[in-house]
Amino acid sequence: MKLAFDLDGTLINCEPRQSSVLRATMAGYGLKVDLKRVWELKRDGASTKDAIKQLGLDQEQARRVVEAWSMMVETPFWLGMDTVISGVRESLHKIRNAGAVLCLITARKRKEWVRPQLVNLGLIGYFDHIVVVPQDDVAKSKAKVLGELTADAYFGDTESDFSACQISGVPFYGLCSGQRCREFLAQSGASLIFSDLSEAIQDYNLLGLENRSSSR
Amino acid sequence: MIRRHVVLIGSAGTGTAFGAVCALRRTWSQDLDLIAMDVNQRRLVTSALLADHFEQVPFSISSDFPHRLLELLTFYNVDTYLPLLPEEIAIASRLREEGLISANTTVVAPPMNSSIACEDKFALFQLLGKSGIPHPRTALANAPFIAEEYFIKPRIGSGSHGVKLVSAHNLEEIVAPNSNAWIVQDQCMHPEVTVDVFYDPITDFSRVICRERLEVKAGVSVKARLFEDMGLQSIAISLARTLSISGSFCFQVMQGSSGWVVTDVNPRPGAATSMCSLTGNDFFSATFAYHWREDFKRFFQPLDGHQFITRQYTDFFMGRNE
Repeated sequence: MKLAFDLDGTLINCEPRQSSVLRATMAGYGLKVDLKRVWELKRDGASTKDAIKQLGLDQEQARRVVEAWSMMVETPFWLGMDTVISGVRESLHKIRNAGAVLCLITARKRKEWVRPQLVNLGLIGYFDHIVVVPQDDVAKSKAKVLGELTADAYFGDTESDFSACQISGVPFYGLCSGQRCREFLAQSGASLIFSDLSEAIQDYNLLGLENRSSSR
Repeated sequence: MIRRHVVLIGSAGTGTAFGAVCALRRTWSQDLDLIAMDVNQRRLVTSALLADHFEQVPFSISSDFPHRLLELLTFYNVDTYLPLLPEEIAIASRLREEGLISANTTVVAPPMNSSIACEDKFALFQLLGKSGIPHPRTALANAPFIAEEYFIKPRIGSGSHGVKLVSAHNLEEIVAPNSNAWIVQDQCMHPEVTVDVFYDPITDFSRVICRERLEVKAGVSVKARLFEDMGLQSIAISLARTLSISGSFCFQVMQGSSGWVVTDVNPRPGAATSMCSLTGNDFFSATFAYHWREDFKRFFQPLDGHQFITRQYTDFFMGRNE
């Protein structure tokens, strides 16, 4: 059994980092928006740029803010604001003990900081494979890796994770613990949607997919 | 409905304040209102980037400070106030004990006598002596014990400012004209270790992590070895009980002639306490969780052997001249 996981929003809570970087970036420009509302809009499917535009920033302000935000959001200092989602360690421990091979497939611009962050968060030991794909054309890149790794399932939190599974033919387990809400994932076509990883793992076992996947 | 906390962070321009603000945003994200106050303008205070509001205030030693502080506590309806510099902590605990700060506001500071002791190093070491906590021989510089060399420290001060080794021959000249404002101590040996402590007096729960200061810049560790030590844990708990501190604080130890001796106590976490968070030990968040009656144990993890942490500077864009 080979299970693959996305990182941001699936295993770790990256909302405090994303919101704090946005707050800090906007403060530098003397701007302010309701950050809770920004996150709600993002969970409903908006990009950061669209969300802040909806909340009153003009095109040029939004462009400048998002450009600065993108440069900062994956730097080591800000990555320190991410925390492991409750129950994730226990879930990973359980499935690893059950003999599964665990793979991490994440899209990051700053590839070099993924491993140090996993070390800091105490997650690195769970994974047999760690693959970082570029942020452009995430779905295709992730699909390629899922195929190469012959993954039996992919646990992710965005529509691009779902698309990667569609392309590669790997079953998708959608989690609404991260960037996108349940309704948005459902609208994107995902059918298996769970509150978080613990719930998805329980269901994975209950559905008996272990047996099905081992015969693939 | 869960109350949205309103937190006032004092001395917001300090590294300790920045550690506290980062922890608050990491753990509670945007679910609280954060007010940062400092003597500097907003554009010189990094914590202001993560705060909802910023207030420039007088120095805490100024006579205007208490009035301004009380004004801000009322204006923002603050429920949690974290003072950080020693004199600010002493003022905050005095105002609390005089009933001038509302009982609905949690002041994250020890009782007044402990706060004053931590501000005045001579009082602190006298208190440690009475409580049997190991510390270097200490006297006021105007009445020194007999020695060839002394380690001298300003009686009121923080961040290792003014601390130096002097010969007995030069002592009088260096501490003049106000020798009463200095203390002298026996010289201690390296290593120098900062001990980060969390203590809950109700359940007697404690978490203690020792940081050997392998390299220090501007009084703050930038390279550290983290470890656990039963002896230092025992000193930590004695200190917490002696000073009636609940939540997090830190103290420094060095080697005396017969083991560890306490060389300084801060009744709050330090600027490098956040180094511990990389090992899953978040003293700042635990302290707020403790005061808000949330589960604070979730912020602590066992330390897996000795761990090394380094620190590098990060740049922040604070805005341009308007």
